[in-house]
Amino acid sequence: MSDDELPTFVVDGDGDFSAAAATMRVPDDHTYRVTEDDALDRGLDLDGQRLPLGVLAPGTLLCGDCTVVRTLHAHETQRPGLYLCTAAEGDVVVKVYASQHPPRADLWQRLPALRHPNVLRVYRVVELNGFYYEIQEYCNGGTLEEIVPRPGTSRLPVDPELVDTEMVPQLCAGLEYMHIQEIIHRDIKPSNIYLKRDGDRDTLVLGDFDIAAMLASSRTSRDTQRAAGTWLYTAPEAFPRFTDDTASTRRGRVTRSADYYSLGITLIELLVGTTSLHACQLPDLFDFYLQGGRVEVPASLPGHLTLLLRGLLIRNRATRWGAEEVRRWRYNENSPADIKHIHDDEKYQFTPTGRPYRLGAEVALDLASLADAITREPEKAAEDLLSGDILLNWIGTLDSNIAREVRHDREAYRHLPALALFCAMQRCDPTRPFTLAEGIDALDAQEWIARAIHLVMQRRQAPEAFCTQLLVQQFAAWLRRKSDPEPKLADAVETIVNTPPRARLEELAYLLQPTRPYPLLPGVAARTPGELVALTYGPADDWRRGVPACYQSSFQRWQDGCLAAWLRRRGLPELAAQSDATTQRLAGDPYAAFETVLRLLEPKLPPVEIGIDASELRYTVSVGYKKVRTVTLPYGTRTPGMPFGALTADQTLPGLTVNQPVVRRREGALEVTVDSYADLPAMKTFVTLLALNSGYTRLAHPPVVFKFRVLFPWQTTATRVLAGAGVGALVLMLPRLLLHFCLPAGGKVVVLDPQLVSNIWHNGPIDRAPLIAEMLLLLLLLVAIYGGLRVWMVAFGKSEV
Amino acid sequence: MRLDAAAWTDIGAVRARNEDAVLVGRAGAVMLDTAAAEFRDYGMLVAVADGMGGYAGGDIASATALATLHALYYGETRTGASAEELAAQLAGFLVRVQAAVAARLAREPELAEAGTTIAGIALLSPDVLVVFHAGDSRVLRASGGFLRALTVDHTPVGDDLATGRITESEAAATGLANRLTRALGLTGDNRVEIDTQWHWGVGDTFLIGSDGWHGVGHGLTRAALREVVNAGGDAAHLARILVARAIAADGSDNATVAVVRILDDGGTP
Repeated sequence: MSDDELPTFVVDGDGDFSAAAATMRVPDDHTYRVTEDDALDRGLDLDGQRLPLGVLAPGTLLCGDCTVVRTLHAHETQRPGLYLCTAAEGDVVVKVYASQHPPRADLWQRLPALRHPNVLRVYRVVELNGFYYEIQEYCNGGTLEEIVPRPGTSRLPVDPELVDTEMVPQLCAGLEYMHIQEIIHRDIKPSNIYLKRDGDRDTLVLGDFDIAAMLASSRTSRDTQRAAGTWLYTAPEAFPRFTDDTASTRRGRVTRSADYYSLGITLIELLVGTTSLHACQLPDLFDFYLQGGRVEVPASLPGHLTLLLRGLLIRNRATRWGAEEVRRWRYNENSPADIKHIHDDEKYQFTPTGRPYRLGAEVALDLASLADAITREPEKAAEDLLSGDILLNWIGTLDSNIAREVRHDREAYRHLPALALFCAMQRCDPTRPFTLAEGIDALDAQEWIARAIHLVMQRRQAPEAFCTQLLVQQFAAWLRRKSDPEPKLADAVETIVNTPPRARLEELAYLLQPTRPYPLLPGVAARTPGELVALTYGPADDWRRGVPACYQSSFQRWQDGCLAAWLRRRGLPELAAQSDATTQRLAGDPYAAFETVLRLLEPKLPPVEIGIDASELRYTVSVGYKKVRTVTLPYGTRTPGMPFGALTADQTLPGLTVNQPVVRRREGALEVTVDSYADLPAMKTFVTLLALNSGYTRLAHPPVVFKFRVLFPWQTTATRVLAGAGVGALVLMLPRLLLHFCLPAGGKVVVLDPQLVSNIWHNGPIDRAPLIAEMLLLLLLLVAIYGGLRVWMVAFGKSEV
Repeated sequence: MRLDAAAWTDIGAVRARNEDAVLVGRAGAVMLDTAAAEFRDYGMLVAVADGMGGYAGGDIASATALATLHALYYGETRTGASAEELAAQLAGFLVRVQAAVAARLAREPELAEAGTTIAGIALLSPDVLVVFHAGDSRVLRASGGFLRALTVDHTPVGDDLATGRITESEAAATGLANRLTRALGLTGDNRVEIDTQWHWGVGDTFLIGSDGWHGVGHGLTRAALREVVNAGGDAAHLARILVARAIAADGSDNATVAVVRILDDGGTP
């Protein structure tokens, strides 16, 4: 399409699409509705970027269900578009992000969840064909920009009473809510504060999160595109402090405190229409602060408002008034410290240095900017700090005391370069808040632990992965080196470096909040050791279905070291030490150790009772001779708790063994083995008592009586005796038989002749009867002797000869 | 803790004689337990001396310096001494070392121009460290993966180099980097600088060497040194590798390095 054919749009003063160029193809009904597809049909520009939507005609569909009423601001590559639309939610404003500045995904997706009367409601967010849309509530009262009494307008200053009683509470409520959500607005100014009119009630709404960010220290190129006018509201610390050779600028550290500064400037504008900054050009603003300039609060304002404005406009971000101070101000309850911070601000100066220090791509002009530079070029900073004295010498040119402290930290932590660097950074700027992972800042210890826990829960991150030893060391170092140091707390934090990883964060929480209850399960927490034990066990009925969740959780947390951490910080270090000692002593039986620890916490805890099913022992247990018999005795635990103990017999009997006697589970089976190979005498009944030997586990009934007897082996004995006696009789009679059968009359020895034997046997001359009788008598004699011997042996459990 | 100490020296590819001398502990390369009586009573002394002056003077000067220092140091016990006490003792020893070197060189007129640098460390329990040096032999310490010099060369450009005002190549280009402002010998400033601001502990590795091993325009660069040290290895291995690489990289001078690694009781750094 040639330039002559390119469509052009004419927009009237109301932003309505009212005409088209002749070259545009207009449908027969003379209406032109530009759909998103039309926009897409325009394709991509030469750089591969989506062409902007520009002005959209009324009736255009956005996001599939938002119908454009009129274009408020045309969508451009560098600027977002705003379109008043109707949608299912009613009148809405659809914001389309600038093509070259898409929103940060993590923030953008969270916008619909923000619900506060003083924060612009975002109904939903949509990404469609490369465009990012926000469907926002429509504020029918415009913005505060329209009431600022700028010079040259006929507007009157806003009533101070209104500012005092209505505007400040609403705006601060909205700010506080956003900060709790860990969002800094970063662009508070009159044009970003909307007005909702509902009859007599006006509500102020903070909106336009164009460059709003999570509390992150990273900056994108978008940040450098700030409109010039916005700098008038920018907190001093957010000004670029350093330049590189290309003169690009980088933002300094921005915290939630910056929003309060911007609010202060905004309030002055509403009250008097201008500030002392308005006469400055952009470069002068930076110099203004560098040279010690402070925005003056007009003397004509009421004292109460003056106090607030002086607090909001404190240049030092660490002492600038925030939510707490404003809350106290509303009730005229500001503390002496709040007032002192205002007075101290007069002495606070941004100190530029004569010779900048180049750190990689960053250039530092003073110690505070050096601290910022270190966060952006940590590797280069570590190299300069730990491999020589270049950086240290430069610090010394600014402040020899700080250089000496940095030198000391460098030497002390030379084996922990990350910690040495952190200490140096903190020495250079003691006002720095502590940056937790992902740029979430904390200004004091309580805020640190609250944000840390929130971060871990929000990200569903394992506490041990977050709360590393280095993090704890840095926290302690920060406490020692911040502008209001807390050395005792730092000492206590350092003791937690070697706490087991899973308990580290929790112990920090207990250290900082000693009355913090000990959680067992979501919604279940104990305030005292006794309560912990009670909650751990829970109702007895819960144990019928197995080990209850509370017990399992309590056990796991004890194993993780959380219980010992809680006890230590509750002022029960002896109990914690005993718990640790028990854990080590019973390392092989963790449940036993845990139950023992519970009894340290609650000595009145009843023992765990188990019952053995001894039905198989109603009668004497019979064991075959030279046999092994095992009796299985099922058991079950009848009371809450995990048992631990050993089943033992009160007498040591040969052949009697309790297999795997240790009871470790709530249910199981014990085995008792009788081994009659162990020369147990037969026909004798043996009795022993089986009892449980344990510190905290006992039987729910008297000891189990175990009776057993080895059976006499009659059959075996008879067989052996007869066989043995028979053989013996034959052997003994053999000579006699030979004499009879082999010596016929006449005394001559003849070798056995079967015919002769038969003749003799049937016809004589031997008298058979006495011979047989003799054999039988001999047999009986042998049976008696051998049998008696054998019975005696078996009956008395002697070994066989 | 244990101290793993060793040294290596090489004549280089150009010089006719090795004028470097090295001293490692009481009797040479050693793995010394800090609980041992020897360490308790004497600590450990490690030093390098780089002789100069041509002819035979350099090696005589360096050998005399270290032999004298060794005899003095291990001739007295110093159990429980503080850093200041050890520094004072060493200061006294080094004065006598200078006197011994001067006396030896004075015996032969052709040795009048000879002299020697000296650089070394003395370690005592629990973490007492005294660093001493005169000249451009260096003491470096590797900790936490970073390598830094504990001494500033006694040359006209030494301070500028240490403070980063000039780079090594710029220093070399001045032609002044090898001119010593301090050295032991008959002439010139022979004061030995003694420093007690440093400490030692598990994880530290000390490198003491002549400028032929690591100096302005000589031997290994700092980056190359760091790479070798971070690769690990025992002291003897490190010393050999460092000298071999220095000779391979340059070789125009003698190269000598002594390595002391501080290990825990398990033998790990």
